[in-house]
Amino acid sequence: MVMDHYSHFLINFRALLLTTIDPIERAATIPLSTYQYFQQDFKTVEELKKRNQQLATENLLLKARQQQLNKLQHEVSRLNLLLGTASQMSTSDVQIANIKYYNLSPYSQFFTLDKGSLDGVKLHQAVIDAKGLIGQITSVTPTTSRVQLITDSDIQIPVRIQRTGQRGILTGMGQTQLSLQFIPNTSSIKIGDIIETSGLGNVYPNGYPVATVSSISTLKDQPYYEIMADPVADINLADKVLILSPVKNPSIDVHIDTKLNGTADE
Amino acid sequence: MSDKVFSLNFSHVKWLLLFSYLAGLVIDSALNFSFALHFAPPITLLLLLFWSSQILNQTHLFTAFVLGLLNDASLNTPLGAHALLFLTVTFFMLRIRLRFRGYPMWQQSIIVAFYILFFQVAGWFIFHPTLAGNTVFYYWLEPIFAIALWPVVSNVMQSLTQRALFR
Repeated sequence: MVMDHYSHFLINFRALLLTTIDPIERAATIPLSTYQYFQQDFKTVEELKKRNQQLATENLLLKARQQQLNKLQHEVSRLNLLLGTASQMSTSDVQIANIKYYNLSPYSQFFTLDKGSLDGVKLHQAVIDAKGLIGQITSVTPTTSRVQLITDSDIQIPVRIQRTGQRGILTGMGQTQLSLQFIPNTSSIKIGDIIETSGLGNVYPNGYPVATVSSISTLKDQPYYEIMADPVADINLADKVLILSPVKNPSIDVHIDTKLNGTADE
Repeated sequence: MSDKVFSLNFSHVKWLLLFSYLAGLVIDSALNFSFALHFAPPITLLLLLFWSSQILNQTHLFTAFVLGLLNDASLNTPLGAHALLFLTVTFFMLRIRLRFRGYPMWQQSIIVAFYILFFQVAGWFIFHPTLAGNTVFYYWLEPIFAIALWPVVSNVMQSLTQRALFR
């Protein structure tokens, strides 16, 4: 128990157990999938469904790209103002996966996806939906993988406030709330500020929106604010997600414009 | 014939026993994944208590450990946490199982409720569940649900056992 909680020695054993209970979990979701099947509109023709599927997928990809573009705009303007530099973002590979079932129990909050190690899914890959970060892959079987949600209390994410660049750590509080920690009470923060991943730790890619600040309170004799935040992703509504490829390098490479430097030297 | 009733062996009901645990795991998973009912007493634990009290030539501790591990994998809790709880509750049952068999149903239900209460209290310290609003009440009401559920589980399993023995 202690080994599993504090180390990764039992990850393969857990994967073995998950593979064993996979048929049981499939059988357990039959009532839900039967209910969902009968909820569908039977008038819908097959082609229309396919088209709808295509559009939903395309829309998801575009929204994910839009998140990165917004981030880039901020980054470019900041760098241009400071140094006259240009920034370029490395495009990361994504994989679309469907949520098979979810568990939002008081013990642990996770999704099970229909993509596993046979599809190239690896541990610690970040998972997003159309609006923002959802969680991280914490166990993989050949055909499925589990995503621990950002609202789970075992998850900590290095983040920064998009408006000011102030760094902090975002922790899940269970249910649908997050807590932003280590923000000094001298820093500028307001309700509605967007919190995005900082890319530190090389687990979550840089610049994906995670949450919005919902309440700020100052604790007496404490150097930090107590900040609560709501996730921006549709954690309870999402049925399709994107699995991002592992972070190898910092996602933003800054290239100093040599021409400008050259003229400055002259 | 009476031997089969009073000293039930694993070999007499092995398929029923294995099938019941499988069904218990499916029901527990279905309650979590399909119906989002996180506060029902674990059916696998109730089945384990039932078989512990019925099959006397085994300790059921290995079964308890395996079922606990499967629960840990299913619920994404640290491996061994549910296994420890299942083992402890089974041990409690082993201590009194001869007397337990002789108790009337209402008394059995109350004892099972105490076991589930222990399960919840120990789970509270091990898992630190995040509870908000009504979920706090549901969490602590689980032993009461167990009182209602035990007669159903016990009667169904006894009926199935008798059918398996005398078919």
